[in-house]
Amino acid sequence: GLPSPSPPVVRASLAAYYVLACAEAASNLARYDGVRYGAAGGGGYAAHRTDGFGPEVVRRVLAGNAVLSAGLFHERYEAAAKIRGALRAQFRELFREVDLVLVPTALLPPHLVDGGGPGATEVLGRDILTVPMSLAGLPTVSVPVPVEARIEGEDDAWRESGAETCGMQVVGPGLCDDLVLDAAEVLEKFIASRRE
Amino acid sequence: MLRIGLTAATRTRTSSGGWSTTRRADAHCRLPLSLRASSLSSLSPPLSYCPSTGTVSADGVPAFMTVVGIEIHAQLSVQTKLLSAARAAAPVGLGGANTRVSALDAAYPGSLPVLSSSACRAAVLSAAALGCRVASISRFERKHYFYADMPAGYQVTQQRWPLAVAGGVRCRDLYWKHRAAAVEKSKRKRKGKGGKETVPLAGPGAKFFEVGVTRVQLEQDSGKTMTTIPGVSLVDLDRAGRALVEVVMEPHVRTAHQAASTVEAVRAILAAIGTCDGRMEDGALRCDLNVSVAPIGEEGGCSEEGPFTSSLPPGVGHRVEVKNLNSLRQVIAATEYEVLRQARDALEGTPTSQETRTFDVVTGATRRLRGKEGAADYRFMPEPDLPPLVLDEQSLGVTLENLIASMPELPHQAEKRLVREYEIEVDAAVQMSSDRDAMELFEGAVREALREAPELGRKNAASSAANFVINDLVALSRASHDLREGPDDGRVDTPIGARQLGVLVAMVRGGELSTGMARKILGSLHGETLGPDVGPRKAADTMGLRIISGVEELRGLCAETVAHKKHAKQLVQYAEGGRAASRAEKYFMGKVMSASRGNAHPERAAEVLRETLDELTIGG
Repeated sequence: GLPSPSPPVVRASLAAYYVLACAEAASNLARYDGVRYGAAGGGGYAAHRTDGFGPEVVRRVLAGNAVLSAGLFHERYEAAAKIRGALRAQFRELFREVDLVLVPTALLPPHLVDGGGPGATEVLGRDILTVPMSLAGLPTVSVPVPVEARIEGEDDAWRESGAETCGMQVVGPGLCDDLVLDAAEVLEKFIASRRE
Repeated sequence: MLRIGLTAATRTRTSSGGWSTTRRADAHCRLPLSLRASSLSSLSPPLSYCPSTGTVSADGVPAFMTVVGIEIHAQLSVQTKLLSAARAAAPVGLGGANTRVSALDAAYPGSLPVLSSSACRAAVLSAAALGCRVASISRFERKHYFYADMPAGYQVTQQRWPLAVAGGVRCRDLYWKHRAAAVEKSKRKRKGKGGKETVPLAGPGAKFFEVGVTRVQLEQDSGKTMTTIPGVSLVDLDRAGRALVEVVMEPHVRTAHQAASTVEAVRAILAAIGTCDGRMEDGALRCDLNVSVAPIGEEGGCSEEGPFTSSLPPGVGHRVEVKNLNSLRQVIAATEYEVLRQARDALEGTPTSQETRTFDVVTGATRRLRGKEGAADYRFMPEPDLPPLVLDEQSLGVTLENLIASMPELPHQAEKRLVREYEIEVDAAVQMSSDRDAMELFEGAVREALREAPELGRKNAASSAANFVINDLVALSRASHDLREGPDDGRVDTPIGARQLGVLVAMVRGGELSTGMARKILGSLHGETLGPDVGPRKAADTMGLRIISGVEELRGLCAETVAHKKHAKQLVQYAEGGRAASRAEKYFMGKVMSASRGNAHPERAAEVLRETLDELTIGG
């Protein structure tokens, strides 16, 4: 078979991604203090940042600062960085054998915006198929492809959602954005022609 | 409440509303406090600090030794900032605030860092000059804390993967230099020569010590905040993002003077290679001290062996970080104060806790800023927007080895070369080698003097030039910068150029001017009283300084003086002979000298005068 990234690493990449992304977000958002821009009225750092950031941002900043804190840095940030390193190495191995990889964008159909949907953490969990490529820094384009819910039981969720398309990611090696965009266009045209 | 007073000066309000500074009787010189064994006696036993050994004695018995670790931040003299293209320093004449701030420096969203290659080169040279091993790969990190002078909310630095490690610096102990000065000065006072300040030369007994360098890293400087308007903090980001090297030294320093000496040694090295032209007084070279005391003779205490022995000894309280030091003198004062304070606390059974203190210039004491609980967690994170710093031919333009080999002359190398090439005194070489401006001026002046008068000979030209530089130019520079402090203040800062000095040397050696006349001319050239860039000959003419040694001229002068009606009586006295005659001769000599406005060549004029007098009296 092909040296595809191993499942344990792929599974771990979701957590690794959020650790690293939140850490970077907390760091990059530190500049929003209301001193040079974005402030209306008085108030100090805490006031500006509490009012100025939405709930998701606040969540990520707090999580990011936590994983960067002295006590947790080694087990969280460093561990996540190691997983990213492993994932990148494995993808490099894979791209020695193939030019492109196709990966579905989502395992589950889209959920309703309001009412009865998954909780905040579960929503993050649905990124499992997009996160590995982000973490590995690989150019990826998601192309809508028609979905057919054929199998009884397994595909119930898809059938019930009424979704007609789902995304298919075209993934290429690092810095090969042109290749990926061209391939995505080919796939798009193919889908369109098959519809007719 | 224990008051520890180590002030050498007190300031009091005068009746006219100004301030007057009175110095204590025994602080008659500008030498630091420590030359007197400072005593501390509120409670028994009385503690005293010995400046030459760094030992704190309780009741005369040595109890503690001083341990200091030094951290120096030096601003690199490069054109742009570390990560942005904004100018590092203001062009001459342009001031103001927030005039050299790029989007990155103000941390505007969407700005990305680009590493300055000249800053990297300067940092590599600095590290190499400090004896370090330069890592071919190092990494940048973010150090997070919130403060108005740090717009991004983090500083880009190199914490875990620094540019260089494991170096060392050989320092000249300034204590001995100033001991010599004090001895010199008291000798002069006793001889009644007054307190003329000449920077003493490092004579016998000059001592060296070595301090290890733990690491050298590249990092960004912060901006500045000012509270000139009450209730408002003003932020100036001009300095934000400037390239700094942080030099962390091993805790090998054992006295307050050694601490100052180390900072000075690092300054001189960085100035010599041109990577940092700054000094403590302009804030371009900043230092923090980590001061602690160790018990002497106790198990686990530091041994007195050599430089590269143990790190901090256990069980005596923690090291205290002292900040806000703006001169070498303050380094000494702060260290001595801290050491005595910590010794006092240790003896009273309340060893000092790990804390950060600030030095207060007015009281000469340190004050607690924050304790361990107030220390921030900096949440170090690898800088994601910068690749690892790989130092190779591609990034530097030359290989790392070649870059290091191209390093300009270090002070100790310059010292040896000056002695070898110019045959000047070791002490003169020592002094000039630690002051690049002085050295350039000296070498240029020798060149120009030889151009002006090739028959002069290198050794003669060098000897005169060195004397002028070390004695006169240093004194003139100091006089025009009396704000500068510091025990080792012998730096030259003058508009006088090599050509001017060289021509002056040639004139003095050629007999056109006396040394005293040359001094006067130097004074006027330094102060530019006749305008900028005036030649010494023109200055001499304008000031009427010129040795009159021509026989004709002298004859004319003497004849005029002697024949004058006013001096007829003295002429008669001369004719009489004997003691009256010699008195009369002295009288005439005085008149001739004043008639020539002091320019007559003393010996020649005396000869001619005698001839003239004899002619008149014997002949007539």
